[in-house]
Amino acid sequence: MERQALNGWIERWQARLLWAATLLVAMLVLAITLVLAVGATRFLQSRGWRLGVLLGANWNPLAGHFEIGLFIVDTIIVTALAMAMTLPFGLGVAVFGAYVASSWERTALRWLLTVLAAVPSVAMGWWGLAVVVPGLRRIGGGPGFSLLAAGAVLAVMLLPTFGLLALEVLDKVPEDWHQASLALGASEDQNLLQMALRVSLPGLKTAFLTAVARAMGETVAVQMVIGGAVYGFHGMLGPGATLTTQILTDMAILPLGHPAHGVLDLMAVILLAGLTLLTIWAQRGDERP
Amino acid sequence: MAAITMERVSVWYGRVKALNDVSLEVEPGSVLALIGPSGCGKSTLLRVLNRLVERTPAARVAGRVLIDGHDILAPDVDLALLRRRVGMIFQRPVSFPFSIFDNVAYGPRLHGMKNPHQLRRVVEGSLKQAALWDEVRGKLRRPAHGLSGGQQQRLALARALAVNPEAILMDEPTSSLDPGSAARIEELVVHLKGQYTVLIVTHNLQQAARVSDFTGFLDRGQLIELGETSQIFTAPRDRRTEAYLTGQFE
Amino acid sequence: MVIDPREARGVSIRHLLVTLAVILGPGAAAALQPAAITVAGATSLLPYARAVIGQWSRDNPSTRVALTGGGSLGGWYALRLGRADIALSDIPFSPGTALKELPIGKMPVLLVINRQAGVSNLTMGALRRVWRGQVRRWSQLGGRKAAVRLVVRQAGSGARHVIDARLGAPAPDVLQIVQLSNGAVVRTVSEMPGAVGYVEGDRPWLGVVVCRIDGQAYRPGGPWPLYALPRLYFPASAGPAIWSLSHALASSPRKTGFGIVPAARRRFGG
Repeated sequence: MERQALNGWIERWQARLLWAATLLVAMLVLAITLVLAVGATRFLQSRGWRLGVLLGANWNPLAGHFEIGLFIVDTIIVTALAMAMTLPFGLGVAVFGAYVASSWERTALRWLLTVLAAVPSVAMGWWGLAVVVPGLRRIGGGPGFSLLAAGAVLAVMLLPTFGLLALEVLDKVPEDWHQASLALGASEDQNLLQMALRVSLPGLKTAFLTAVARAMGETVAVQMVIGGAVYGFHGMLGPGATLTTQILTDMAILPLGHPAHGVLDLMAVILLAGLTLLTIWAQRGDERP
Repeated sequence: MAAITMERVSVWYGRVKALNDVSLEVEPGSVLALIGPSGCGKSTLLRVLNRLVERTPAARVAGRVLIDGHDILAPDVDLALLRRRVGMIFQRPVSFPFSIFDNVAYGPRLHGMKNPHQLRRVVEGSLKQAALWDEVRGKLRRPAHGLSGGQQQRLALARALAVNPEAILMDEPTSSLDPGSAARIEELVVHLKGQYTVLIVTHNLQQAARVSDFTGFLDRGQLIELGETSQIFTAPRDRRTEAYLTGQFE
Repeated sequence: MVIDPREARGVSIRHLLVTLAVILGPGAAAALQPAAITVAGATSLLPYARAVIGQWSRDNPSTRVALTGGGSLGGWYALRLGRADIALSDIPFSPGTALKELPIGKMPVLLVINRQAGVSNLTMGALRRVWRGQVRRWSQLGGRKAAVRLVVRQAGSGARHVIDARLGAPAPDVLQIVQLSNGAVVRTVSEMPGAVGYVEGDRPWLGVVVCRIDGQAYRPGGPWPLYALPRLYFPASAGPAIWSLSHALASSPRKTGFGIVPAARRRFGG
């Protein structure tokens, strides 16, 4: 009897603890969002809410020009380039790991991807400087520092994120379903394309979004190879700057307490909003029957 | 309808011998029930017939299996074609997370059927054959996972029938169902008799007695006895069969 | 199980003390040492400041000094907001009456050019034309055919401040690569054909051509047109420790070891 009471007590406290942990996370997210939102709102207020003006390409904070349109465009381009390169490789790696590899190959693959995921972004930046930038310079003839270089470095960083998540998703397809599909005469390819990938679509979407979120948020590695150009669009092989890299670059001249520090908050809010919209859009797709 | 012949078939999973020198013949259009204690090799026997056994790592098959005179263990056998001719339904009802329509149309689409009218006809016909049509007509776009367990098993049957097989393998098809749903599946098996050659693995002896023409008893990978169902249940020739039927086994 | 009460008490008291120390440690330390000074600002001055502060702390062991970067502007804002006591800067600000300004000296800003440009001497006029985008290929200035590419520092950097003031801001249509440190500028210039950039301080910059200007190479004490003027700011109302450290930072003879040329005493300017 006493033992039961103790167990009940433990369970109650466990539940409370878990609840408290969840609450803490929720509050943390809320607090961060709130701080950013307040900063962004104040900044917009000081600019008379002329949002349209901010979408131009004239960025010169020391002279009072805060147009961030170019950074939004470059962020989208770099993310899209990275995803376009990561998606086929990541999916290929996941399919190999889930369906083709023998058990030791699979273990090795997981290990490799995990190691790759653990490489610090500054090291990926070095790799970009040593390999990608000179390579693109030789091939394209431009400065090498470019949106494409940033996309390529990001693609390598996202490969383990997306690959591991996709591998988990494909692994979760029940053996029963494979057998049922094969028993109907599906070839291995048909089984993969018409059954496994199709039923994994919601999970793959989540993996994709996680990778996109990482791509949009990554800063240091991108900063090291993107060239940081704030004037005009120079094409894929030309330099540019994303929202995150420009926050990093101009953090020093717009420190906390500076009247225009809020523009950096606004840039962060735009990133968050973009990701939220993307997530909502992706989830809406799932609810279709 | 297909005639099935197994000649001295053995199966190993690594070093474990799961099926030992089994020989049998199944008449076209008849129902053969396979009974026996757990782990006796009944499911393995079924999986040899559509070669799904090869999915198990380190599985090895010896012997000869003829379906309508063709050696299906030959290396150049078209697996897709074989499995199209030999359908299978499983112990737990398997529905893909698609709509009811897409579940039934899955097989025909694999084999290249694209015409929507043709697909619709096949889906309707298969659902009618599986006695599910009246319950799902007008709801074909709904997700299959909304169906009950018994309905899902009939859906699995409809999906198997949709590719127009000649034989159907059933691996304990009613063991996860309530008695009412199980009875409906049994009715279907009886109904399919004559059109399809059916092999059904079951733990339920009454079920075997009710639906089958022939019954085979397996124990530890060996086919102990195979005969007409009435004979097996009334006058088994082997003591082990008798012991199993009278519940003195395990 | 038998527990010796003395031992138990010993353990618990020790635990209590450790816990208290962990919780209160930093706060208590701060309370015991009211003289804590925060120095913040230009990253290019950090190595020098670190050396001077090390020396100063040995002479003033009772005062703790914290040194952080944040850039010239960041240091300036930290000082204005009361988060720093001394701000290091290589950009001039107007101190008003509440703040004191002390010059530290001057640091040359050197032009570095990629070897393949084939150029090692430029006039200020030619440099201005490069910055305005009127020179697109080095052949226009007697070098090889390589295209001109600028490697610049981010806004707020002291070197950029000097270059923008003397050469004008680069024309928007001139391709510019932005790098966040001297080292990154030099590395980029050394690798990118036709690149030209600038760095702060007279150090052996490897892999690049350090450009002569109007025929003159930089040498300490010689004539040179491009100087950054590092300085520091502190509140006029600051206590003696901050005054003392500020003057140590402004007048330490170690500055020459860090590429800073002593300014003429109490005079300010290039």
